[in-house]
Amino acid sequence: MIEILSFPVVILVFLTSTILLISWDWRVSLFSLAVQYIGVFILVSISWPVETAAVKLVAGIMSSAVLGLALYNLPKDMTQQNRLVASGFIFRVIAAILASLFAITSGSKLVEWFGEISIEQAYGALILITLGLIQLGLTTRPLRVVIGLLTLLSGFGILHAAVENSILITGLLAVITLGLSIVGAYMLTAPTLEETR
Amino acid sequence: MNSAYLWILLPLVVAVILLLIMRWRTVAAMVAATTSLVLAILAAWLPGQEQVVIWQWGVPFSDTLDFFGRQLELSTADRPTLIVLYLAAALWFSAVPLARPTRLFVPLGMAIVALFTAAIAVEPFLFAAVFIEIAVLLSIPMLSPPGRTVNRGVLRYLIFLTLGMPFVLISGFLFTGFEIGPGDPVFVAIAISLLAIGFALLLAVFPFHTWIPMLSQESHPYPTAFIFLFLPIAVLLLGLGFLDSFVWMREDPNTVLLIQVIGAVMIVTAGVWAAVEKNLTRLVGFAVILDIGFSLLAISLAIGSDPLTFRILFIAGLLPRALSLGVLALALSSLIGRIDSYNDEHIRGLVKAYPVISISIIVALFSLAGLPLLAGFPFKLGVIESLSSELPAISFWAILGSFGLIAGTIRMLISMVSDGIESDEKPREPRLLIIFLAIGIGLLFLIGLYPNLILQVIARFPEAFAAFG
Repeated sequence: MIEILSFPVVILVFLTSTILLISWDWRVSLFSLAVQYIGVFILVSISWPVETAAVKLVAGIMSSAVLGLALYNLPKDMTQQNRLVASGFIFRVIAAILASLFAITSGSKLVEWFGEISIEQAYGALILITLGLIQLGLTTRPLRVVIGLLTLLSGFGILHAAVENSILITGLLAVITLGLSIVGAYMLTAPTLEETR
Repeated sequence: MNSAYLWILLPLVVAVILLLIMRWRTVAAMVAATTSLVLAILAAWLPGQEQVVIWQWGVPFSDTLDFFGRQLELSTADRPTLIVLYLAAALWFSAVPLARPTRLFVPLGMAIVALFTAAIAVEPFLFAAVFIEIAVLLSIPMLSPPGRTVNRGVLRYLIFLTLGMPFVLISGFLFTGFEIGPGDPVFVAIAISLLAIGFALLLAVFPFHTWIPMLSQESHPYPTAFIFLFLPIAVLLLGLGFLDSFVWMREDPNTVLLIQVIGAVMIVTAGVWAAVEKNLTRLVGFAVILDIGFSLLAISLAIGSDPLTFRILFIAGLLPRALSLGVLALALSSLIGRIDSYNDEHIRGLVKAYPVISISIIVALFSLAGLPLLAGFPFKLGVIESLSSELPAISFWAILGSFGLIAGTIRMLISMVSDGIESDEKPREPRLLIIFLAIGIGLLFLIGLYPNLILQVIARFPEAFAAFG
């Protein structure tokens, strides 16, 4: 069942991570992030039992919720982002397509190296890693940085799931996912908090 | 009783209590300093036996704690590191009332030390990368305190350190099964490349070093220096874990050469930038990069010709670094609100206005550069002397890098002694601050003149170095 879904899921993670790259509305971004974690969950389920893979889904959706709550409580002028200009939009879309082409051409190599990983997992992981890196390279905003890191770690999470199945590391990686979102929420709200000096 | 309860769980519990009492800065700092000092003393005093006798009761004592199917193990071999970690933490927390960083510093700092200890203790060792990442996440609120916009240095620090963790984890898993000997050379080359990228990100190796000067310029000097001290220790120990576990990697001459080249590159680049730097806090950042480079050279020697001596030297070298950074951080923190910025034009006349603070900054920087008579000198001399017989080129570049930092420090000294803007108000250095800084300077000279004081304490634990003797 999971295997049937795996190829459409690769397209899904490509779409969500591209939306994360081009969207200027935080609601759209966080919705895409949550949907992306559904894709990650399905790709991880190829290697792990569904109940273990669900940890990634729960942690990811909770992370989106934490960031969403932080942004919802911020004054509107602090959450507004300028729309991308046409050239910026085109640049990002082309970057996303090129990164995905790289992921598709390198995926088979990854399968060769790792052995246990399926081709769909390799595609999904590489798409998330490359688009996460592009996101990190194009921004200095805390929200975008955290989204970029979460995307990138999701990609590594798929690779890691193929080579290791440890409860402790699964739990600790979920803690890091949640921790990153809490740190992101803190960085967003820090300017509005009372100084502790 | 268990060693993990004592050196990991207890500080974490104390950190939670400190979070509740952080409103009272001095009380929180004293509780944290006392706890750290007691833990350092226990690390030095507690015998590594299955039973510890307290007065007339025998309490069972174990080195290992099972934790979700894995182990947290703090054996007698880890005691020297524990002594250095908790002694440095005690030193840092004791001066908090003077440095006045954010109130979150003490509880988060305590938790970070506990997490770094967990990183040393966890088996398999590569899980340490995850504990280091959690510590990095915890450090964000103390580097970017509430009420302030997050600066670019903090963001870059978060990005680079978070990027490093998965590289180390994945390469670690790829190496599983290759403990005795390498497998397919292409596969091993990929795994080693991933590992090298991971460590380059975690240790701020050129070109991933930019977060260090940015962070030191934009964040409060006290928590920043705290991170600069503890983070490289945890990462370098993780690196040693790799080398200890994979014998073929340790014995491969290319590994030693690679570490030496990376160390030399760090020292030279840091030295060059330090020589032309105009901002005092950024200069501290480059001094830290230089010191990490020297630690890498010490590690390369520790897996090379004379493992026992250089393993001791690596651990012993951490205490002078802690002391130098502590003095620097306290002196720089005490200048907040007294000068407009740390740029060279704003520190003119500093020696006249704040003589003890100025002297402390210069002495600590010279110590990090490895100037004779100061604490950093014996450690750096040991490294350079050994390298000069094996690889004179690397030792030459290491000396050149140190000269770069010395040149940068002299430039700062020239700015400090130049005539500055006269103020009507007579500047004053708090007496307690003078006492702390004077003790710090005194210790820097004492360790520089009598390095055996540290070496004797570290060498008391032969188990720590048994595998290398």
